[in-house]
Amino acid sequence: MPLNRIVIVGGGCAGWLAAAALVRSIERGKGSVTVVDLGGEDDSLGVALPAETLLPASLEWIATLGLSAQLLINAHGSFTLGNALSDWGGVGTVFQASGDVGAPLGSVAFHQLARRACGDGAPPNFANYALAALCAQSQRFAPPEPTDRSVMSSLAYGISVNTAALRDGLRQDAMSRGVEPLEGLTLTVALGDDQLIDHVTLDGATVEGDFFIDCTGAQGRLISLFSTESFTGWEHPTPVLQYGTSLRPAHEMPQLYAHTATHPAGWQRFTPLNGAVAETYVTDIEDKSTTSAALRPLITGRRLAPWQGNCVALGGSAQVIDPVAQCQLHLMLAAVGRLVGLLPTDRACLAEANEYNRQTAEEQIRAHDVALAHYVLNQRHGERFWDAARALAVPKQLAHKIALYAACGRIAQYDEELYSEQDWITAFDALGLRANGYDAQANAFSVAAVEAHFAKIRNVMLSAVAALPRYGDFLGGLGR
Amino acid sequence: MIAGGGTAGWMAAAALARVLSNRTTKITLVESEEIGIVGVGEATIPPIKRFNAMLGIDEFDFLRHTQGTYKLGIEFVDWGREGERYIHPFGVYGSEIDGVKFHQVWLRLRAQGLNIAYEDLCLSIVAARNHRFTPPNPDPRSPLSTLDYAFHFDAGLYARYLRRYAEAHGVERREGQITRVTQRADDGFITALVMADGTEISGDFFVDCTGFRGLLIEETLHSGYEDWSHWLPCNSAVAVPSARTTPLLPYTRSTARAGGWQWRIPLQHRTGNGYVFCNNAVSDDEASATLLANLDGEALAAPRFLRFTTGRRKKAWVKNCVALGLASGFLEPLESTSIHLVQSGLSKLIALLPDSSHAAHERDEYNRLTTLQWEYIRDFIILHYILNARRGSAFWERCAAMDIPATLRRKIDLFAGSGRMFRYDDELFTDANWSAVMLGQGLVPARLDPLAANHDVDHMIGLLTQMRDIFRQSAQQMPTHEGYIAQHCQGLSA
Repeated sequence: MPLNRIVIVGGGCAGWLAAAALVRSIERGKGSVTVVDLGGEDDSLGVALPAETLLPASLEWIATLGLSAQLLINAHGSFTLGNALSDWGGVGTVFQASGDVGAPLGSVAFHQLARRACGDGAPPNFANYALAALCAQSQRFAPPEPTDRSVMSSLAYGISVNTAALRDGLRQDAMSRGVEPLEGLTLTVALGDDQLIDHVTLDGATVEGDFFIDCTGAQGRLISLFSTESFTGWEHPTPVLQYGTSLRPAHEMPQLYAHTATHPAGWQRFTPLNGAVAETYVTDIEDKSTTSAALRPLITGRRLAPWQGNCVALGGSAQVIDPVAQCQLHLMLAAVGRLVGLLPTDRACLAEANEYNRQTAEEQIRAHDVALAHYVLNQRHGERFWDAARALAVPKQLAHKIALYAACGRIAQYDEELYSEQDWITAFDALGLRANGYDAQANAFSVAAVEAHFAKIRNVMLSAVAALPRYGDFLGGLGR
Repeated sequence: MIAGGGTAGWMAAAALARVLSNRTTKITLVESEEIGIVGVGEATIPPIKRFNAMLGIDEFDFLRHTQGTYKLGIEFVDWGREGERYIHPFGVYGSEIDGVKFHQVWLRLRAQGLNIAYEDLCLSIVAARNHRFTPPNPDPRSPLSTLDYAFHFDAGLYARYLRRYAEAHGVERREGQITRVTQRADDGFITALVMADGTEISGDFFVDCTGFRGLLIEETLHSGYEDWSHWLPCNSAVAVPSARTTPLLPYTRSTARAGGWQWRIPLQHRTGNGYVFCNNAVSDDEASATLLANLDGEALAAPRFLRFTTGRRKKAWVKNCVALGLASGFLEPLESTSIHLVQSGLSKLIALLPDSSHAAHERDEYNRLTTLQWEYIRDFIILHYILNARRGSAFWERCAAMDIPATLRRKIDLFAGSGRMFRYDDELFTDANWSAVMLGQGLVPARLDPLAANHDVDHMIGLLTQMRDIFRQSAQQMPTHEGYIAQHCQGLSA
């Protein structure tokens, strides 16, 4: 039976993102996409945050799904080249750059050369050899042209957006392509005899559909009806937290990076947008020092098999990852992309569902590994919260990844990683994890040769960066 | 310290010598002329080019010394239904269109009446069927950019070639049989190899290339063997060289037979042939007779038999010893992966080269990656058997009905449902390889990717017709395989 009518429940950012992507994928003239909007606070991506960051890999998904980058600019988007981490892997601030750091010599990676050159002394500052860091430091940026063959073509960047504005833009885009919005307050879900969703009712009116998408956040209004799919806590949990957010207007030129700083019982992050700064503040659930009533518990967890029958849960209804990983919007984009690649042609496509669930489960675990790594590798000593974070139980694969890197600077990569190999190396460096051994092939180069190579990289990068426009000028020049 | 010569041993010697050239590490290889080397005519896959490039070897020089020829793919005869043949090519089919995989586009158009064979849309296949060869052109606008290739060569000559290389780079060769292996009392690490004449050769790290017996990895360190014969029941092979014929084919052939399959590997000086079989389905005599009756040239020697158990060493790296080649396991050469497994084992070893403290983490990572790679290749080989459509033979019917690994089941179900493919992390074979075999052996998806429906049918048919014509034309303009070889890399007499 052909699959024509897609019904998306949840009118937040996740629902409208799914709508905009799916309306482009259904057979022209033959299908329909409807969004059922129940209103209320938008926690459809997991944790309700005023700003979301699209990673470089997320931008690839935007392009693959046929969405325009202008949507992001219009959502108060500001470019980001990395994170400044304060007092996390040691005292002081470290810049965790997006994309490549340095360049290899032959087949020997940059960070291995660095270990070779510095011996047991202090390793070089990665930020001195990362194009993204140099741009951020000098406040110069413009995305490279597709025809650019210089070192600039390797520049990796993300975009941070205002979540509500993004939702509005996606809604407008989807509706202009024929997605029908329905608004209401009460929702009931009717299962047929075949244990598939037959229809939903919104304020008493029936909404027919063949395939249903649950974008209602962690509550999972549709998926929770499939009794096997409850929202479960992580087997190796991140710390139990409470959190608060704020959004304040800002008129100065935005920074080209987010700033995450630890405090004795948690951390806070400032994410610059075009015209505003969003703040996320998290602290230990036991922390009574902050009297603000605006803090509420942060619940993380996942559903193990988010595609059941003719229903798939996306975004927060599939998983909630600790926001230290900054990956909610990315996981949503990847999930939509995966769904489009496995678009069912029947109400119950078991092979597709199984494959979807298998990949999603791996991806959830890998993203959770990133979050856990931040807590487990912290170097704040003598504070209850952070000492306990270092003692958290870690799953076998993450433990192997950390141990292998600490032994010889190699990264063990698994399926569906959130971070690339380079991202892990940069993150480990920023979190203060040092490798004891290094790639023996690096010894083929003398220390002098390595240092000359490093100097050359830096000079090439500095010249390229100097030729870029000032970020303020570039951003001002973009339409909004 | 490398125990054993042959292809695996000398590949290891050459690669390690190259990579450790500035260090004070000493590399010694111990082999015995008396112990027969398994070497048969070998076929390879494209990554071998990277291995040779890493060593700094010139392609034509290497082909001249090994009587080598070019390989554009493998032709499978009678694997789907009897009388059918398809080529699993190197290089690509068509191109992805608007994010939709090419095989999906083709399937969709075929359902709408397109009359062009899938094979006509792959330049490698068109060239192969016309017995032509030319190297790929890196310019993406040229149809020649869709080509890729590997080689056929005499494995014994390749080992000899690499031995010259290795010895020129400082590797010491010691002749003799190893009678004993000494170990440290406290942790069991290997300390030395003791030769038949009593001399002891000590070392810090050992590479076991001693073949099936695994003198170090198994007989000394007891790694254990994971037997895969329930999935791949062939346990024997009979091989015989035959006279070269014209034209010189630029591809390997695998023909299904009553109890297994027969390989044909074209070299410059002769053709390598063999019948891989299960001796419970077919006796040695029957196998030998079948092989000899199906040569296209005169046999040049008596047939030689080989026995094996398909499977792999449970841990390829134990303590201070890594096994490569037959010592690390065996998978039948259906997709020419044997040399590749040596090459990739070496590149992982080089990447994880231990310092003197022999940390467990590098070992664990090596074993983890090696396990994954062997399993993926195993699955790809099983794919050919499970999709066979041969009838009337107990052996083949059992193969078509067997329980297969879950990892493979998932891939087949997904493709059978809607023509979709997903590649596990780091897998050797791509979508193009999997779809070539699945479609080639008659697995047609029940439904089509709905995304493929968004294209304008007439426009697409026009594009594909044009593509077929361009490929046909390009192939005609290529030199013949024989001509190319004669011009660039005529084999040297021994």
